[in-house]
Amino acid sequence: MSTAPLVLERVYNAPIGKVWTAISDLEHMRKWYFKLDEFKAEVGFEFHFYGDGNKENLKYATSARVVAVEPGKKLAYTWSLDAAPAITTVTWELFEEGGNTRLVLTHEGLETIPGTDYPRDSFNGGWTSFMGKLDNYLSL
Amino acid sequence: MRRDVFQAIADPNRRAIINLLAGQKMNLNSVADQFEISRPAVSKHMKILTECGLVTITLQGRDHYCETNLKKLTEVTDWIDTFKVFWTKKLDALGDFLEKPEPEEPQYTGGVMKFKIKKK
Repeated sequence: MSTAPLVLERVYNAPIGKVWTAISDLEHMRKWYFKLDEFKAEVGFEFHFYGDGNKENLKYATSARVVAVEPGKKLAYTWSLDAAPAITTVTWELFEEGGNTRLVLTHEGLETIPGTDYPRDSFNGGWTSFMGKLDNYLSL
Repeated sequence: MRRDVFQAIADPNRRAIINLLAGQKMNLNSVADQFEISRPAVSKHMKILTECGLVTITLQGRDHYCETNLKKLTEVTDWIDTFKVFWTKKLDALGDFLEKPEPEEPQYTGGVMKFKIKKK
């Protein structure tokens, strides 16, 4: 059985500073990530957003708190769905690779999200719909 | 209280029990012998594991035999796959964003527009 964290890696054809700005600067994040109202890459900073982009839909309300910042290297925040009392952690790490940037995304604790009273299936549907919207937006 | 597989694997002792049983059917007492926690504690964990369907216990003579139903764990991998899809899309979006040319600042190119007033 596996309780290992979810780890995804990408190499981007962009300098590390540009990738860091894209993942940590509010104006840049809003263009590809979430429509965040506010974000500061400072340990302890708390922010909230809606996983399906719909403010009426409390089921997808997500709270996050920055837990680690190493400018140009590492950014981590907790990620908890208000509907499920479990805290997961999302960590972004950047590594320079000959002018390109390797990004390692780690999402830990997903298996601890309790299923009891938690609308997992409808949540999946929400993400799918949201990601569809994102694709449409990006292909404009 | 309804149990599910996510609750079952949230505890390290229960994960250890599943690992132990993953390759073999075992007598309940033998399982308990492998752990330093008390018998009642092992029983409590076993109760949760059976309630969520990850472990079944059958009585054979005087012995209680435990075995795992690892198919139940696919609920967990499915859930994690959902996030895998989600983050893959996000990382694609980041790649598209990074490849876009820098938005150009509106540039002030000329000086004052000059009007020539023809003198009569």
